[in-house]
Amino acid sequence: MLTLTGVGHDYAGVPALTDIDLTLEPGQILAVVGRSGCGKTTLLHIAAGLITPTRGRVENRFRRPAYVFQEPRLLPWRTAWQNIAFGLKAAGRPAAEQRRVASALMERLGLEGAADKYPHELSGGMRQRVALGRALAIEPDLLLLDEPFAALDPGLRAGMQRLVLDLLEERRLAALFVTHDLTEAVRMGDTLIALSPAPGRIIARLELGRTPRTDAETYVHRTVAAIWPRVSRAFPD
Amino acid sequence: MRRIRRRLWSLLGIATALVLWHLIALQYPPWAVPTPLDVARELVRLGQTGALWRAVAVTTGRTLAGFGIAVLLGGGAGLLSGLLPPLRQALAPVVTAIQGVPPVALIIVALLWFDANSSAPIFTIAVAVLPIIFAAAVEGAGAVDRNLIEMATVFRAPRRMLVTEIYLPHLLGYLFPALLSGLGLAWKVALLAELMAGSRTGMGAGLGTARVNLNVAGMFAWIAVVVILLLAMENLLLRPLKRRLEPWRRGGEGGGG
Repeated sequence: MLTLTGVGHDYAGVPALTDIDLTLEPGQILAVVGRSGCGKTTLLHIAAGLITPTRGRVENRFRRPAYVFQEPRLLPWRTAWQNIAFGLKAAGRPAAEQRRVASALMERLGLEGAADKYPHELSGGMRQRVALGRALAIEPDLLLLDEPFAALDPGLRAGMQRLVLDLLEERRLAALFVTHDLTEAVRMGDTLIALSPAPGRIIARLELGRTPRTDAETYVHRTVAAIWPRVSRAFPD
Repeated sequence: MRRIRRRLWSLLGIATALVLWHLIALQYPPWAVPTPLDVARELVRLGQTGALWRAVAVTTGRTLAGFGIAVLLGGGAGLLSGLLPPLRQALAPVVTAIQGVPPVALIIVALLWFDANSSAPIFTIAVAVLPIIFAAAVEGAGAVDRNLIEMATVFRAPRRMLVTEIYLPHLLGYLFPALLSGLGLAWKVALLAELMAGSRTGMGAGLGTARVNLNVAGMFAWIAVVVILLLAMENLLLRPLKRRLEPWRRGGEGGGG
């Protein structure tokens, strides 16, 4: 469980986040939506323990968070399976285990036959799946996702969203999912939090439940329309 | 097809140069300007006596020893300087000063401190080449992708892994051009050092002997050997090594075939 109480963070005296209260339970997906620059990535960095916030209290009971960035951030000089095994290698796991875990994940992620390819030989969607595999390889209990599909073609995005939802459910993982796209936040999140433009503060908190498998598009569009009045302040134009 | 045509042009360039050399040489007496054929004959003679191979072995050994020291020290110090800005600020002016010292001056000092027949040329080569490698390593370490470092931090990679998984592979791309020019410099300095130090062995010594005997064809022959060795080292050792060490770049070149 992750609990933030009255958290705020400043960069060089300029506030980026203020008054953030949130909890994330095991197995829950919390989608955070807001315009770019509203402190979403800062929130993820706080959850990952990369930065200590200037104000407030953070209580993180998750043992092992894993991160998926907006860009794949793969090592160009390592093959796909070696990239997936990066976290295991960092944890000092034996080579045979690295190989075994990586190949099982590659199969699950639809990356068969790509094990010995280098990142520049893979398509953008495959690279992001390798990055996802790298995060899942360390058997995390919390997945931190920083706009992981923003750089993908719209056609690929829907498939990746479904894949991540399935994986989160299979592994009963908690996730903190950050995006600027409201439909994506509705599709991914059990709970949705909308942040105001900088400095980010919570302007709406909505319990949505999980996206159904059938008629997902209808569900998403209907939900977006229903909640729009409450979250529109996050997107002033 | 394109590659063959490129080769043809290269060969044509070399052939033209040789023909021009030959025509010019014919205008002068053979003891002043030898023809390419004279030089080739001299090469064969040197090869037959065995003196050539012994000299090549000795000079190659010295060159690689000095070059190796420069790569280890320059690369190591450069990597550390890239990681620790205060160290970089402390070392950079020192290395720049060393780079400013002409190799000839280095040789004179080296002769006072070291043995003219072994360590003096090695020392000179190492000091002359070190700044080139150092500068490339500093620049490479500084240009490392911060996003990858952040990724490694998130995945709790130990410091050792940052070096082996990120810094070293990244640095290789920066170091390679420096290694090539450093190796070229190493050969030139090796010859210079052997000649200046009056070494009894090595190609510099052979060049010195040819000079004393006013054997211009012999001098040309030694120069040709140096050029051939440098090209061989670059194309038979360093470039294949780069391909082996950086298989991930292969797909980027050309493509298709």
